[in-house]
Amino acid sequence: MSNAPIAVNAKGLTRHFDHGRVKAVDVLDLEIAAGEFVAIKGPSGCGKSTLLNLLTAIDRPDGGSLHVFERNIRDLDAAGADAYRSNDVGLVFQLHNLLPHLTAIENVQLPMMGRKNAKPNERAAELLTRVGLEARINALPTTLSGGERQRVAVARALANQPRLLLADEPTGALDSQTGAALIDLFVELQRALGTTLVMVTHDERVAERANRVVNMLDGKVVG
Amino acid sequence: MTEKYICAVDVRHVRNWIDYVLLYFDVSYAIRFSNSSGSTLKPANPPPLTKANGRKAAIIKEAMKPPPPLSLTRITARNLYRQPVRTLLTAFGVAIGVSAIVALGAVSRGLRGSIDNALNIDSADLMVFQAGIAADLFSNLDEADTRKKFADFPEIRSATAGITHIVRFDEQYLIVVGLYPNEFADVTTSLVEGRAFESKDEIVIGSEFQRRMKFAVGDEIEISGATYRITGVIETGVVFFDSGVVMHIDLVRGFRGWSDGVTNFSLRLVEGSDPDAVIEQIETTYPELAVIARAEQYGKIDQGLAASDNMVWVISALALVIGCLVVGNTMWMSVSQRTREIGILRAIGWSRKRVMGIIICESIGIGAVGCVLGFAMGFGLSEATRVMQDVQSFVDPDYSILIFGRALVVAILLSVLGSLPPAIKSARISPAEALRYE
Repeated sequence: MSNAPIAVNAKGLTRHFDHGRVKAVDVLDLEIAAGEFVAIKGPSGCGKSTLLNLLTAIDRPDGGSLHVFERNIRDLDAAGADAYRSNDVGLVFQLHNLLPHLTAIENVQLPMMGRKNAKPNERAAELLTRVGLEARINALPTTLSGGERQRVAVARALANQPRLLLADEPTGALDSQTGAALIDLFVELQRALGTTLVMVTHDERVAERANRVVNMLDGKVVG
Repeated sequence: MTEKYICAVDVRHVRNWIDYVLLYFDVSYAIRFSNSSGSTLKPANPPPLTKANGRKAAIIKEAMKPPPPLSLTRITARNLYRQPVRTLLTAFGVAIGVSAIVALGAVSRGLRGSIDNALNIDSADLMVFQAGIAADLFSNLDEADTRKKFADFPEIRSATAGITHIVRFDEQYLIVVGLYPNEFADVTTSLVEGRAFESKDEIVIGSEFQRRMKFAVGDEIEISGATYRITGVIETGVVFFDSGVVMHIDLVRGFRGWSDGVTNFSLRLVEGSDPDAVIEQIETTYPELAVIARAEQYGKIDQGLAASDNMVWVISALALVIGCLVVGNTMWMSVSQRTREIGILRAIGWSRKRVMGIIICESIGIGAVGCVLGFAMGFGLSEATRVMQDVQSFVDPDYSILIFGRALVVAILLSVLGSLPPAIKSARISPAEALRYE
């Protein structure tokens, strides 16, 4: 670990389902430095996605503590969690999850809606240019390729300049060539913006590019 | 944002085949330069902007122009447009209520206006009917006895006796008003053609009736088995009269089987008299008489207007409640179908309030579309009464901005009300669960 400030600090983090029978995240300890690119690996059902949900505050832990940039995520109320997701976190899903009836540029503007002093149009166009889609800003998701959709999703995740970028198997639904290009894009953006990147993945190529690989098994960090 | 030549073709900006031809070269040009794996797609060196391809450049520039910033209104419009048939059908549910308010409101207002006008024809100040009747047509006053009573009131300058009756004519209803020829002179300012009737075989017809039936002065007309010659045409602005005929009072008495009864008297007061004070004096002295000066007092001698007003409210309320339920049901289904989408919005930082706002805005959008449809339908329905044979003699729809405003406000309010349960449902969707939802 470097001496950089701590981005994520989880201690004894626990999330159980089905009355404790399913221990998705089980007394997990994890520390991620700001600006670090961490790949989280592990077999299916080991709790990777649940951990990501806890980090985005769309799910709440049953026990332990979770601090992101020194903010106690566990104690956030509903409005606080909304604000946290809007201001501090960018999320990229395995499936692009773009709204099909909105164009690329409109999808990227979604997280910026209602924010004061935002110039959503300019910012969205700038982000789409950055991910190489300046030519497709007015395209609907249905007219984009899988890789292009994920690029739009990345641009959307970066809309509010988050300090923490979370990606849940973003290359899972892409062919290897497109997946490789997307990883390149993530790495390039993470380095250029200094964003902390946590990527859940099965993809060995991601592990090779990450600063650190965290292996999970049965809800715990095992290496 | 760059304005250079790059592949930025959105078919929505291509308006005709000429645009396609012009754009073809740019599309193929830009595709050649597109980078299949690169994360830093750069525009190729653009060809020079010449006058010859100026139009082409303008089209490309427009295609590259980002659309207006995304707003709640824009998202609402897009969401509604996603399911145009569902939106239209739901809006139609609202439109039924709106059209009921507009149509019944216009008809009721027209009726009220006609009564007001009827009371003021040729400066009549008051109208006297029999008290305690359900409808003015049932009024039966003894003419001689009532005239004697009027003599008690020096404020009364003159009294014109009249009988109103309805007969069938050419498969429609015809209002027949009976007056004395000498008293008809009191109302002849409405005469627009010919002269007043002078004998029992002459009649005067209303202008609307003349237009509809294409009669001319001098023509003969058969009513209830007898033939009359038309001597003149009146135009009062009151649908009952303009769609009817005026004839000798004794003839109408005959239709009704009366010997000396009349339906009503029109009173003209001495200048400076207070009509309300005279009404109070007459009704106090003779409780068997009902006197009115304005349409608001019409309830004294006819329950029909009040009943029609109540009917307007009941039907409108019922139709709007149905509209409200239709909107609520549609939005509930919409929220259920969009669970994952709502989860995504919540996951990217949208607050519960904002998600609710979208649902409520969509309902308002449906309400607004419903209003436009309802206004058109309501207008069409009320105008239809002008050509429906059985009612055209009684109905003269009168529109006011107030009727449309009331319909708009009520429809929007009920749309919002109907949207509350689905909006609350949308706010309660857990993003974690919604993202697992397929």
